[in-house]
Amino acid sequence: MLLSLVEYMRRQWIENETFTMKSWCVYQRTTRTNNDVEDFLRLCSLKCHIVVSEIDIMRLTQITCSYFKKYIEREIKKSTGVEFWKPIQGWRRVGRKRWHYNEHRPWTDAAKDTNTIFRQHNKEYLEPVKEWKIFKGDRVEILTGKDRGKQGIINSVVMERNWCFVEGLNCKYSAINKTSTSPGQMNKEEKPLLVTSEVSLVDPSDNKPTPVEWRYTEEGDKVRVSARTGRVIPISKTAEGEAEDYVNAKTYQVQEKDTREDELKKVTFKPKLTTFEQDIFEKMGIKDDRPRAKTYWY
Amino acid sequence: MATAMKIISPLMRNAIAFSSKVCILAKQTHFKINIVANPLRVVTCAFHTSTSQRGLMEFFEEKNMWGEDKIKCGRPWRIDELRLKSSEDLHKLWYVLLKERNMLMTMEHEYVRECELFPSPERMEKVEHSMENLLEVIKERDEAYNMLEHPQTKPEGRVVRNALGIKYFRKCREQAVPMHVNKTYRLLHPPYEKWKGKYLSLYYEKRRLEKRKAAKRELRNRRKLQEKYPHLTEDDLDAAFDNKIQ
Repeated sequence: MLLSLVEYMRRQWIENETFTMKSWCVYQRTTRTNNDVEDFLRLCSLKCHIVVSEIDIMRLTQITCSYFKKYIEREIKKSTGVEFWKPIQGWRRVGRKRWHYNEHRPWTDAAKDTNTIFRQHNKEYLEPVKEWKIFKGDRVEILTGKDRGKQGIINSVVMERNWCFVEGLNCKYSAINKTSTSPGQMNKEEKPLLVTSEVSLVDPSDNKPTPVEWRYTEEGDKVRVSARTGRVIPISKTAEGEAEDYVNAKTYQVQEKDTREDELKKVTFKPKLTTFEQDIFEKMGIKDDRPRAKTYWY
Repeated sequence: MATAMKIISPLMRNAIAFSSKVCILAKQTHFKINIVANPLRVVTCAFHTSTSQRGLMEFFEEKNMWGEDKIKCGRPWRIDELRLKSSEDLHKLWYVLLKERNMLMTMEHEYVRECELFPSPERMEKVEHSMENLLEVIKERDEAYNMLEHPQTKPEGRVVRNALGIKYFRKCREQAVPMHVNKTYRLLHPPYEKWKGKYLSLYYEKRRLEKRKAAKRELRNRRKLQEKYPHLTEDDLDAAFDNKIQ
């Protein structure tokens, strides 16, 4: 058996006229695998799609400070491609063009795994939503699926996909480590529901689903109102205080490095007829009597 | 500053004398270093204005925070809050933020070196955001002063040709020298020459085709959306594509 294999190797690879030793031997060569070829092909295929200029504009919850948007954009850019400097062209970028949003938030590893270059995703056609009406902590009724007619509380919302997750409802069960001898473990996972058609808010007066409108009260507050009965549907406390970076201002505890609120609100500014630099010079006792040079605008 | 230097300078001289003494003592007996090194620390303190003085360890986070999964901190400074502060306060705050950013960068580098995850990376954006806001407030104040004291006509911008002959709208900037003296400006905006016209027409054709492609793509997306959601009206679709929701 072994002898026949040795004989085959000798005949096929070593003493063959078409495949000479030089064509396949890697002894004293720099490239030993075909990884370089693969990398080259990958880059070629990327360049055919044209280099990315901007990532799609994102829709986030309540924007209180824009730093978080910038953070997410940076994380997405970091994980989807590379930027490099080219002498005449300037900064160029090679990588994935569109980010595929899913139940995981973009800065988590799970989301980055689904957005590697090798994964393909079809484009989703979302129904445009003018005014967002459903938030975290709301009581809703499910309109489709096997849990139709059941009511639950919303766990989380993904605005980029028009999705919401209802706690303990619309679940998928799957077995883990299932073999012929053992039944394995059951895993329960909540599946997303579309905000536009698969879920409806519940009127608190009669616990039945209603269409909802945004209206103004006499004090000028914007509230959600049930279109059927005219009752106000308040937003839950968890959703109210939470900013887009998932930090609730009401429950946040002041840390050591934070500025105190009384110091934050203290007014130290006094209007003066000086520039910033002149003011600092005055405070530090630096004298500068040089006349101001002429400048040109073009 | 000058007066401060006067006070410090004799102390500095002492410090140098001390440090040379330390070197000599260190060679002889190294347990004496601690006793002599104390006055050195007193001298260097005079340069600092911040309350915490940890030397080079200020580039690192405090020790009890090392290796934690999450480090909590507040939100960035808003522009309205910074408008309340005097320029002296802003000056101080700038250096507080700068030190914090330096610290974060060193910590990030250190975590990468140790092959571990950097906790709460959004802190960097928080600091940068407040720094940007601070610069904007200073710019506002300086602009207000300049408008009062040195009124100047500021043209918004004009259409110019770049080195390749391509037209673009250039925003006007404040320059120290006039146009004909400015070397870099003249290099980037040379006079138009006839031979560029041939390539320009090709370039403009390419741009036109790209625009047409984009318009076609939008129309295709619009049709697909209409197919999938037949209840949408024309106005809904217009609003969706104007706001770039899709």
